[in-house]
Amino acid sequence: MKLLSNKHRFRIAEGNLLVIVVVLMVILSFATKNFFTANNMRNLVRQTSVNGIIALGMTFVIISGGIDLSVGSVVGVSSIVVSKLLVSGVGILPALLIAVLVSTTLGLLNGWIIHYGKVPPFIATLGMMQAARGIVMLLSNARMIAGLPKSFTAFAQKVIIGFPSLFFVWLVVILITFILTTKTVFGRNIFAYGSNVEAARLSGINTAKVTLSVYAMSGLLSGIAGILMTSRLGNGIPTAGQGYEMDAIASAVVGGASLSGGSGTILGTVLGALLISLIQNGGNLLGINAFILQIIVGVLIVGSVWIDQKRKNVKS
Amino acid sequence: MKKLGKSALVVLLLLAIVVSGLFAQGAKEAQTGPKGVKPYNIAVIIKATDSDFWQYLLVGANNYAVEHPDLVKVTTYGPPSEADIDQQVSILENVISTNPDGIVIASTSSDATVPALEMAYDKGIKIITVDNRVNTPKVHSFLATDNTYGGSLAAEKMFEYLKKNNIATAGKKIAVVSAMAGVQVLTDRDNGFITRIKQLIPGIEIIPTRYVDNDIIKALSTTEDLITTYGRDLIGIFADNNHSADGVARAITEQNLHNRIIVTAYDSDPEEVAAIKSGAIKAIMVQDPYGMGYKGVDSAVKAIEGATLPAYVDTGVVIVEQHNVNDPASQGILDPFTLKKY
Repeated sequence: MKLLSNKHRFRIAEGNLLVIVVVLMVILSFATKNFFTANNMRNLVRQTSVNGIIALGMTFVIISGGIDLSVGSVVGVSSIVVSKLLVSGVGILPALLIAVLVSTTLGLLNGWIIHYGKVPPFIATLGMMQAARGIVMLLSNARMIAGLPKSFTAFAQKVIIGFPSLFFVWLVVILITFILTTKTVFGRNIFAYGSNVEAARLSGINTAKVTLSVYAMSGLLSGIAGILMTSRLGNGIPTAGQGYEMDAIASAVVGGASLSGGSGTILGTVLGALLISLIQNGGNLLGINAFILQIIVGVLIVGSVWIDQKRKNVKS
Repeated sequence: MKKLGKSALVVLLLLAIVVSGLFAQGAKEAQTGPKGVKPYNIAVIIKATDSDFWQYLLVGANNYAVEHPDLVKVTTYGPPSEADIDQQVSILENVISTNPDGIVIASTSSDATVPALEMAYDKGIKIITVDNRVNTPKVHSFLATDNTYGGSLAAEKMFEYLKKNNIATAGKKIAVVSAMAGVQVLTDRDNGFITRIKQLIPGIEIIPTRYVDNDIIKALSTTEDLITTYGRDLIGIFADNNHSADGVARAITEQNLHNRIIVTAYDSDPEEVAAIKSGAIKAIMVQDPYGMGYKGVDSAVKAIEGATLPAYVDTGVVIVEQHNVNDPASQGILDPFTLKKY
């Protein structure tokens, strides 16, 4: 019963966000002559895809009441691993699989440390953020890896029926994560776990499975994002992903996920990621001063959570 | 009561340890200072270990040591990222406590390292600063690229290629994509570029500088947005370091605008070199980090042996373009790892 009312509440939060996104798009369409063009729309979804995918993994973690600060570093690991393998002549498919496997393992390790070591998620993933970046530097000698095969770099440049290929990957991830959170027992367990760990455990939910799988999911999606980024840039980049955890957390939180756990939606995060890109893109198109843009993003993050809190208080 | 006595005892003990430690250190420090015997111990401290540029500097410094094994022993240090200013200060302080004969440092902050460097100078350690000026007279020499001049060279190259490609400049616009706000060397490059391009093309409009957090993807997105916004009015882009240039070049390549938008940039990495070859970037201003490392150690040796050094040495930039990118001379500049002797 409680779950149902929760769901209902999120729909309202998403609705608000959707209105903001649409209004902003309408304003930008009138304010600039180039915003509502096919080309710019393609740019916009392409610019959002990488963060959009990482943010979805982050949403799982946040719903479970945790946080994953290591996503940016895992993006780096994935980028360097896939590049190293490709340059040394490994086929594309095995290279992709290994990179994804390594990233997922790092996520799994996060979950394992958090569950079995009882280390707070903030600390466990902070450590992973450092260690994984160290692995990146060690593997790459802090140097860019060039000479990736054309067949690999061509993927991110592809446009399929008018949309960039990255968008389709994002779309598939959205669909799968949406089904996972709304239609499966696993999804419900994450919400239950995030709302009240003890109650979840007593009602027979396998808490180890929940913790390990949400962090593994976050690692997996960061790994995919790292591969897409590498394909787009045509190089393995040791500094890739630095600071991306902040964008991912911001997207999820603006999208209505609560850092205290138990709430958050896939569609909310998608809209949150879109809104953050929209402000950047719109700001560039309007030629707004870069520093003012940064202030706007900051105000947006705090403001959206504030309004969300107020609405919740009114309800209860 | 018993409890109180116990904690008082602990406090006293701790105090005793701290005090004796202080005395012991004081005694040690009085005895040692730089020894000044060959091989000289020289510490090289870079801004960050996470970039090609600083790795190149280390190659230069280490090569010097390999070539002169009886003269110097080089030890290298650096924080993981350029954002870690405080960490660089701690590294410097730790290095000073080992009493090297000379320190070669690329200081990230112009001020944060001043107290430690002054202390080292007073102890008799020879201080050579490279790349970034530090606000104290207590250094023996400063080796760096004149970034304002380098920026103006980038403007001249852009002007040259605009003419070569018959691109009209009247009423058009030029953009600057900067890696980061508030970094002196980048500001110098941007200002050098803007001042010179305005002299060369009177009436050209410079679009407000866009900053991209040294992130290639952000540089790419920003460039896409610039192209979308200004369309055919945009005829040139200056990118002030390698990451910003990589993103700009990617956008130019994706939309195949090689001959419509002239890009000149700073620094080098494999992606920039590929862009020079493809024509996405027309010219890059390449500094000589290898030379900074090599000459930095050499200057330290000279200072230790009593020579008076010039206060400032310009290590210069080399302009790399399509016609000279494959020259052997350019190879050493573009990838100093090919010069590595260890």
